[in-house]
Amino acid sequence: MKTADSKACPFLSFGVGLRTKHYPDILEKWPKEVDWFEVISENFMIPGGRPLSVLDQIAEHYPIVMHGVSMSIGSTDPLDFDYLKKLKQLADRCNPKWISDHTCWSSTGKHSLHDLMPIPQTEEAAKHVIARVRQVQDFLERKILLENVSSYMEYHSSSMTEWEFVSCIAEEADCNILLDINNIFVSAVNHEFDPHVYLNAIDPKRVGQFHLAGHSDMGTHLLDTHDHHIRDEVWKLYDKALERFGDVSTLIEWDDHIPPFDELLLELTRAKERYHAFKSKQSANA
Amino acid sequence: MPSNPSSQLTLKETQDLIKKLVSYSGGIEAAIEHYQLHDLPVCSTEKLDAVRRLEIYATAYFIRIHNSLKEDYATVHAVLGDELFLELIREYLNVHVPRHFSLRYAGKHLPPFLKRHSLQEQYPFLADLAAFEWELLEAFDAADAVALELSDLEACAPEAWPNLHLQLVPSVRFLTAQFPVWEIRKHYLGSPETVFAFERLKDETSSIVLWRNEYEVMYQSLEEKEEKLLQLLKAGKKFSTLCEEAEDLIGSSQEELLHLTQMLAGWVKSGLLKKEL
Repeated sequence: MKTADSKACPFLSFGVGLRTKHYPDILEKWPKEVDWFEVISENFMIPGGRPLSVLDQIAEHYPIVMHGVSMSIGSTDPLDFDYLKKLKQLADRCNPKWISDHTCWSSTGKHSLHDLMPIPQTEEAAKHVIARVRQVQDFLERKILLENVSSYMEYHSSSMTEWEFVSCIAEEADCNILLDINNIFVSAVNHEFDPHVYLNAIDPKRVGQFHLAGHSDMGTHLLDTHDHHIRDEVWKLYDKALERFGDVSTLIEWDDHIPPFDELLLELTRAKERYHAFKSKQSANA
Repeated sequence: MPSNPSSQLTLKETQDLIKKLVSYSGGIEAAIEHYQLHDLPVCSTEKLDAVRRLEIYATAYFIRIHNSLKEDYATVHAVLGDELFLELIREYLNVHVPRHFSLRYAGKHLPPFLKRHSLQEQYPFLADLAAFEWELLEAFDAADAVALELSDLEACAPEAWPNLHLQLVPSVRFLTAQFPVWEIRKHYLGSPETVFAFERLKDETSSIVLWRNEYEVMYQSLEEKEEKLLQLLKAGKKFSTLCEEAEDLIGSSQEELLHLTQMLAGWVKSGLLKKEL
């Protein structure tokens, strides 16, 4: 269990991803149930218009966190400084508590796959990613968080486990980790490993945020669809994550078949209940 | 293709190979055959072999871009229907792979692509319609600007008028279309379940101006003279130049000057002009 002074990021409590469908609910009711919002950075890296105006208003009322999908930190293409410049401009505008992206590659040969492709877990790749994270952090003048992705394939060339790879990058590049609990579960099923081994291998000092989301069972594999309620198995893994990592800002992601805002709030309440149960247990043990 | 066994591929070789496989339009098995691969860099398990695992990414690549373009080109999709639109996007991606970090720009080249596409024979308005939908998107998230008000103009001293630089708001876009594509869009937004009578569309070139007034994207067709005057503003010409040109275009009688004044007032009321003078 980590102590307050070893936190990778401040504890913002419980947030949801900001989605267009929910703009009216938020702007009319300013819901108190939500403690903070996460925005997909690329959706706001635009010259102007309503989305940016909505973001400005929401940033006045809630802490904001920026979450990107296109940094392509594992790509062998040169770092896209035009992208990073725009990312920094957006950060200057909405003053996020932190900026995150994924431990993945999404483009190569200037061809964007618009997906979160897993990186071969090799020493060569680790060195490559570590150097790029350092460059990015220097440019942005802040530490970033990298999220573990859901994956459907593993490479013959990999010489370490995903948790060893993720930990090595965080340690050597001195960045933090956005731990997606659902992604760990999805990858654990798809690649037949024990998700608890993953959790227990991650240094609590590095974990700044949790993601929780729903997935789909395709029979032969799990797909990270973000279009369902969070499954029981993932809630149980979240309980374990709370035990290991403690007070970590938790976010509900829902990107497809997005439910009405009230239904999303119910999912957020479930996360809060698990957290409060953990806190009660912790107090009782103390 | 690299000749070394897949477990010894460099990071760059691995990424290049995976990209070729998942973005190949015929699917993973066709890609393996096309590139004559005997060895895949991805592991197979009893539950799921390497080909199926790569197919998950190949499907996601296509579906994600397809769904984004279906939203961006909602009327083109409505006209063509699911099957034809899907085929169109497959062909489009063979020519224009996404280069931009944001999915928002994946469909940038669809209007010119459609111009040369055989679908134009059956739907001669399709490229115009796509260009119209693209410009709506461009106007939607163009840079913000405070709009000029009539009181700003009234506050200008008469001697300052000749050197005034009236500027268009940054969201202004001009489009030339051979067909009144906004009618098709209006139809599909209003009653998508009914079939639009394409045959009644007139083949008549017209100019359209699109812009954003606060957060609402607007458009209107323009007469040639009005378009020329707005283009002068876009080129940064001062008010005196605009007046000289207007004199050539619409004359200098009292009535014609009134027409110009009304035109100017209309631009201001519509939010076409920027507050900075």
